[in-house]
Amino acid sequence: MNDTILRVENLTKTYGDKTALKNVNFTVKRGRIYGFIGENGAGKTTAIRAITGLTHATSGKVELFGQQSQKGLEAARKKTGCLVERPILSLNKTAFENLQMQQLLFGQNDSEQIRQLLYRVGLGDVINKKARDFSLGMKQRLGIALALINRPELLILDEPVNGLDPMGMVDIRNLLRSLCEDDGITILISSHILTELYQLVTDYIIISHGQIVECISKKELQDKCSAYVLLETPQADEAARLLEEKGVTETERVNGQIKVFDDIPKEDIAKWMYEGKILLTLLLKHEESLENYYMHLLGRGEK
Amino acid sequence: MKNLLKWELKQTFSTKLFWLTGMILMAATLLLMLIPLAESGRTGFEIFLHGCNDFNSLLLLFIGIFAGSHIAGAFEQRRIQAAVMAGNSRLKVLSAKLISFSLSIALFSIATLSASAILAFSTKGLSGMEGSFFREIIIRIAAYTLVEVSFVSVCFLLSTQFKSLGSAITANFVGLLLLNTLAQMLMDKEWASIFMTLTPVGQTFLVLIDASTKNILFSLLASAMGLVFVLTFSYMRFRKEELK
Repeated sequence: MNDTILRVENLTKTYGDKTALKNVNFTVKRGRIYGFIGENGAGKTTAIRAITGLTHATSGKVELFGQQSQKGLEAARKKTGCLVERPILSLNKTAFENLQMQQLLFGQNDSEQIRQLLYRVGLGDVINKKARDFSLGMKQRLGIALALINRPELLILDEPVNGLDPMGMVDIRNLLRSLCEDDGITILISSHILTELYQLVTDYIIISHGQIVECISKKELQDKCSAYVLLETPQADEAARLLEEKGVTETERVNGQIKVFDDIPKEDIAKWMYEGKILLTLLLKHEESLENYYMHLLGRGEK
Repeated sequence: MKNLLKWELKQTFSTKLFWLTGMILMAATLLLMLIPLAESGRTGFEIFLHGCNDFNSLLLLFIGIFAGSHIAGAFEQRRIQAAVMAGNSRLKVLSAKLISFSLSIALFSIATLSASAILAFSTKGLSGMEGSFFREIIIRIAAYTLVEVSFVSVCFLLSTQFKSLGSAITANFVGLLLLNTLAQMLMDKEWASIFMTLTPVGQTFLVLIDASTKNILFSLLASAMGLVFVLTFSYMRFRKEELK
């Protein structure tokens, strides 16, 4: 089975003289959870709309389950579940009836599946409640259930945790993780809530001002998010010389503070300073958070 | 397409607006028929034709709301978007929408005109007809239904151009009124006979006067051309449209 489910190549979308997407390239591989991160207006929803057929790209191509042609993409979208911008609900219908209608669209008729899905998204006790009486969080859950009705291989969720309380976010996170691990569903989830995605995704696609800034796995990100030992001393010159003698190569010095980027335990550094009779007023290990890394990336992104 | 059509039809027939529109059209048509029924000297056939005319007038008044809700409402509530994201081509989505709309109008028409025929002939008898009952009534109802479906499908075209419900309803009402008025003005003009014969709006008048085989065939042709025109021009706009 082909590992690549979705491939976006040189996707560009312009509205008049405004460029919403510029030469966007990324791939989505089977069995993983991708976090599509970008600030508001970065182009996340525009890219998702192009993938799901709601908008036509100005240039470039989308390949979904190996299909690029118009007809092929339409067939491939039947294997995709989507929640774009906000759930599409019939407010006058109950949760059960909404899912029943969605099943009809895919030629299905399975009441048991509907019940199981509603329980899975945490709406098991409001099956017969009309959608107009749902809270925002409940509507989001129902939207996810709608996206799952056709047992998709790829689930595309555009900011699905918007409006959810912390408990709701945890529930959705656990649900999505279980969908990937237990059901083998590949997930592409867009958000600007970085900390929320960090606990869920396996890969990141970072977009800013319509351009992909970076595609990176979580492991690579963890490696890349620079860690250093920060020491502060009134004898900065001597400390720097000592570190150099010990073979430390990557340092950064700002006034009385020295950052050591080499992978050396802070205990070793403390020991060296003690043996060299250098007074330390501060010694700590620092690791760069996703947020800081992201902000640095955006600083390098082009407008 | 089969699944899409089933979904579309279920959406349509489960709405209160569908049933309300149908009931209003039927009730209002039958009520208006009481006026000629009360007059002496009217044959059953004349009263039936009167009912057909009343139905046409009421359709002009009410169908704009139904069409607007059916089409523009579907865009506003993002049901069109749901169908596209489910892997249906835009042409199929639009075709299914047009079929469900046309079927709704056909059901309104057949139900109302059949009820009109029952009321007219049960009270005044089968007098006044020149040809057979089958041609004068059954064929006429069928042809008139097709013609009405094709005529009011202009609302479908207008509603796809105006995505907001209010604008669509207004455009539908104005559009239908203008076309109907134009047809009434051209009705007696010989030089406009081609327009009257080959357009659905013209046939809404002609079918009531002339149920000959020739005119019935022209009405079928006009209906088909009208529907093809509507689907083509609706699709031209819809195929590249941004779906919000």
